[in-house]
Order: sequence, then structure tokens, then C-alpha cells
Amino acid sequence: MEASNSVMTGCQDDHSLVAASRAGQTEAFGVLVRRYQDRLFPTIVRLVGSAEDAQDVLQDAFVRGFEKLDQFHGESSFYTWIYRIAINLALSGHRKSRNRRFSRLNQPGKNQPVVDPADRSPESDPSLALERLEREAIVEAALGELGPEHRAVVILKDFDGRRYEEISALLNIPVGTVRSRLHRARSELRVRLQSLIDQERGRSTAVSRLVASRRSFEPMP
Amino acid sequence: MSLDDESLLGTYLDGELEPEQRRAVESSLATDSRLAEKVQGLSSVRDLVANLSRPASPDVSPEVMRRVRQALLRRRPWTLDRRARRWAAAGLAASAMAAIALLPLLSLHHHDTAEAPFSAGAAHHNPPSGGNSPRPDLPADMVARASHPASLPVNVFGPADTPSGVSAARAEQATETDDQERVRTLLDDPHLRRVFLVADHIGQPAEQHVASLVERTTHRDYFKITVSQGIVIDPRHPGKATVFAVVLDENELGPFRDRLKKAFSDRLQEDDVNPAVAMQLADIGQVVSFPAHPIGDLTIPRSNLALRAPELGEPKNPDPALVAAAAELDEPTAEQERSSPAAALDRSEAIKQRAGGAMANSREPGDNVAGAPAHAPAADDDRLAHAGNSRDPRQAAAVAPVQGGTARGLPRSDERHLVVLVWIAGTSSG
Repeated sequence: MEASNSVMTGCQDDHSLVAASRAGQTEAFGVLVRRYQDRLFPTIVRLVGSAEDAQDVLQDAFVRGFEKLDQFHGESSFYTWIYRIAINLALSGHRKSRNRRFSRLNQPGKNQPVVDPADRSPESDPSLALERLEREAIVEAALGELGPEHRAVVILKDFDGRRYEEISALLNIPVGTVRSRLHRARSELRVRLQSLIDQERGRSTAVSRLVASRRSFEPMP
Repeated sequence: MSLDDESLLGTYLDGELEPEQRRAVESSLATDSRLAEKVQGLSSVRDLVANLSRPASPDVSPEVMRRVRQALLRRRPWTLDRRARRWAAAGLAASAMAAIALLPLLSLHHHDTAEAPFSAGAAHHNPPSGGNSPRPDLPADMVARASHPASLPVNVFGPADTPSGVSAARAEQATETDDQERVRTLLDDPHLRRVFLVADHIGQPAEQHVASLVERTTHRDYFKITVSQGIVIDPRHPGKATVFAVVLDENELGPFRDRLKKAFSDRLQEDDVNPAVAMQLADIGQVVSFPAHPIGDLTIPRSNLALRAPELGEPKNPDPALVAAAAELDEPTAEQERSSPAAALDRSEAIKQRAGGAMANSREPGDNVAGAPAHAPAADDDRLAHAGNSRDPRQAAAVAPVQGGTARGLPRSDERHLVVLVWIAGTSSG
């Protein structure tokens, strides 16, 4: 009964939950799903290009994880293990869907962000929020124009913060390939996002000038 | 700095350069404004991607759990072909249709294995003599082939642990779904310890015999899975494979092995087995589960009930179906007798189980079954009658809902393998 309560409250560690799941306690696996879905979802969204597809991938990943639970031996954390499954699914099984999604995003006038505005963090100023949405849509469109291999690398590195070694293992490519693909992807993005970069730079320059001008009025100590 | 070297700019930005390379890049940046501009651009790109919003996930757990439970019921259909092939490679007939019959024990009393009930039971009747009439429908090559059972893939696996799926708890309140999950949980338990294979060229009596040995040995529920042919993958083995899945205590394994050896001698093969084989079993085709109680009642070997559940009483009248079933048991050939003494035991056991009025109508007057008790419970008789005149009422009843009358039409000479998968309860190794 205690174990059951622990499962219900999600107090058990991952390995206990995995063991319970293996033993047929499916509710234990449900705890793992709820524990990690929020961490996995954003990366999958960026990889597949839509929240809808990402939700499908996430479900598939967890179901696949349950099916393969006997192959999880605890060498890594459960999150690392399920993350790998989810990434592989996002990059393979849903490639067609993703390409279709990104290609639609790239159509003129249809650069809608993949994330519903209601999902994003609230911004007090509506105009700023709108500006942010527009900026995000532009970045998403630029990502969508990358080839899948280059997009995967740049998202895993820049969005997800993975190290080269990790990306190498995830994608089963040499570290040197990770490095070169990343450079290529960023270089392409830099060209496509140049106007946005200039805006950002202009904004930061203005801020810098403002700060500098304020400093100039500060009284000398 | 060359174009190739420019890829170092990103690596520098990511902090993944060796110290020496990092110093070289920093030196270049200090003197080359064009490179500094590039780094700044790459840095801006990185920030734009990194600052993309991170939406919260919708709760996928309800759908995941639904699919997980569904997957437990309909095991991984996309792996059917591969798994089926592996079973075929193991010498088992596999098919897209599998019937899983639950055979919970009626008697839950943990009997004393030291009593060696099988030995005692076998002593009640003499093995059939060589004077039995020949069996024309059993080719000699079939006999020879059946004496060399194919082996399952051999592998090693981890130490035994407590099997989680099957407990001693009765399934009285269990729903059909619960029963299916119990079967699947057991099959998926990675701590499968032993596998016994019995080459069975006689047909149903050997299956009954194995079932009775399993029942005598374990005090838990056990399961019978009939892998029936619908798509014959291995034409050399067009018959069926019947698999018993049972959890034994450590101290039950030895007696069980002894009983199997005594019963089937050279037709018995024992091995370690890759637990994945058992898992595959759950994946072959659509699974049909039967409610525990009716099937359990249906499939209890009557001789054991007589020994262990006398309260069930003696049969009032021999059922005509029983008589017919006994009469249909052809006598083995002399060659068959020599090659497989256990076949005789099978047959005697079957006749014994079909006692009652069977004696009067049996075509084997030489068989000494006079001392065998007449102990077929009336309840079984009823179900047997319901199952028709199949030689094995259990088999017929278990398969009929899935296959129609296919099972009943199987030629008796079908080569089959009886497989007993054994999980050991507790943590000791062996």
C-alpha cells in the first residue's frame, strides 16, 4: 500500500518506478511520463516543427520506452535514456511530417510560430509580446529552411545545450561532423537572420549608449 | 584564418576548444575585425535559437497509459514477422493466431512434492505391452524425427528474481483483462530460468501428461498457450506448439525435472533459454484469453483431481464422450513403444483419465487399467461433452473459439513440441 501511495504521489526515484513499471505497475510508468514530459517537449517541438507533431512523438517515445523497458539497465539516468528515444523518433519517424510542417511554415505570410502564444511566458507589454512572436516565427522559419541534419545539430546544441560528445552519440556521427554541421548551420542562419541580428544589435547598441550616457551624468566619486 | 579554421570560431564560442586552440583563436580575433564580426554574428544566432520559447507539454500521460495498456494486450504487432521467424527457427510452428488458455489450478494446496505423485500414479497401471496393435497412421520417420526435438535459442540471463506477474492469489475476482495481463506479465518476466521441451508425436495424451505434471508440481496458477498454425512458417513442423508457463519454487524444480525425465526420457530436452523467447510468445498474433474459471474447470486433468480433490466426488455415470475419447486413442506401434516409452505412459495416463465406462468400450483390453480409479468429475464430463468428441477436450475447447474446428481436425500424427517455460520464485540461483 505504501508503495502504491508513493507511486501515486510520485515520490519514488526513477529506478524504483522503472522497476515497478517492469513489474506491471503501469501507473508507475505514468509517474515517469508526467515527470519528464515537460523537459522533453520543447526540444521535440523544435525538432519536428509543430506542437501537434511533438505531442505525437512524445507519446510514441514513452510508449516505445515502456516497450523497451527491459533494455534499460540503469547505466544512464532514465531521462537520458528516454531522451535518446524521443530524439531518435523525432529525427526519424516523423521526418516527413516535420518537413511538411516546416515547408508550410516557409510559405510567405504563413510564418506562424509553432507554439501557441498562450503557451509562452507572459509578457507585460502586448507590443513586446507581439514583437517576440514575430521574431520567433522568423527564427523558426530559418530553422525550417535548414536541412534536417543541420537543423538537428543546431537545435541540440544551441536550444538544448548538449555538448558535442553528447550530440555525437545521439546522432551517431563523429564529433568533427557535429562541429562542421554546426558551423554550417549557424552560418546559414546568420545569413537568413541578418536583419534580425542587426535589429538586436541596434537595440543593444542603443541600450549601451543609454547606459553610457547615464554613466556620464553620474557624479564622480 | 582559413575557412576550415573558421569552424573553430563556433567551437570557441561553445567553449569546446583545447586551451591551445582557444588561445590561437583569441589571438586572431584580437587582430582580425572580420573574424570578430563573424563570431559576434554566430553568437547572435546562437542566442536567437537558445531564446526560442519552451512551451510546457500537454499532459500526454493519459494517452500514453492507454496505449501502454493496449500494448500489453496487443503485443507489438509490428514485430510479428521477426518474432514469428525466430519461433520458426526454434523449430516451433508459429502463426498469426495464438490462443492463450488460462489453466488455473483448482487445488491451491501446496502438495508435498516428496510424495512423487506421478511415480505413484504411474505405478497404478502397467505400461502397455508390445502386444498392442500397430498404429497405421503414424509414419516411422515421424517417430524418428520426433525423438529429436528442436531446440530453442540458448542464452544466459540474469539471476532469478521474484516473478511479478503470477502470484498465488486466485483470479476469482480478476477480469479477463487482468488474466491477460497476468499472462503477459509472466511472459515478459526476464527471469525465465529453464525451458523443457518435449517432442510429442502422439498428440494430446502427452500434453495432458505434461499438464498434469505441471499441476502436480506447482501450487500456483499456471498458463497454457497454444500456438496454432494459421500461417505455417516452417513446413517441416506444421503442427502446433503448446507452451506451458509456470512459476515454481526453487525446491519444486528438481522434482518437476525428475517427473518429466521419468515420463519422457529421451524426448525431453532441458535448457537455459533467452527470456526474450518467452516474450516473443506473447507477440504472436492476436491474443485471446479465456475467463479463468471455466477454462480452469475444463482443463484440470481428472486423475489429479481424484487424488487431490476427493470432495469433487466420483462420476455418477460414465460420459459417452469420455468413452468415445478413450476409444479414439489408437494404440502406439511397437516401434513407437521402443523409441518412446513415455508415449505408453501418456496413453495409459490418458486412458486412466478417461476411466469410468471407458474400460468397457476400450479397444485396449490388454491394458491394465482395472486398478485405476474411476474419478472423472461430473463437471468435467459435462464440459467434455460440450467440447464434442475431440480427443482432447481441453485442446478443442481452447482453440475452437479462435480457429473454429481446425484443431479437431488435426491428424494425430502431427509433430508438435510441448514447451514448459519455468520461472523460479525467490532470489536464489540455480
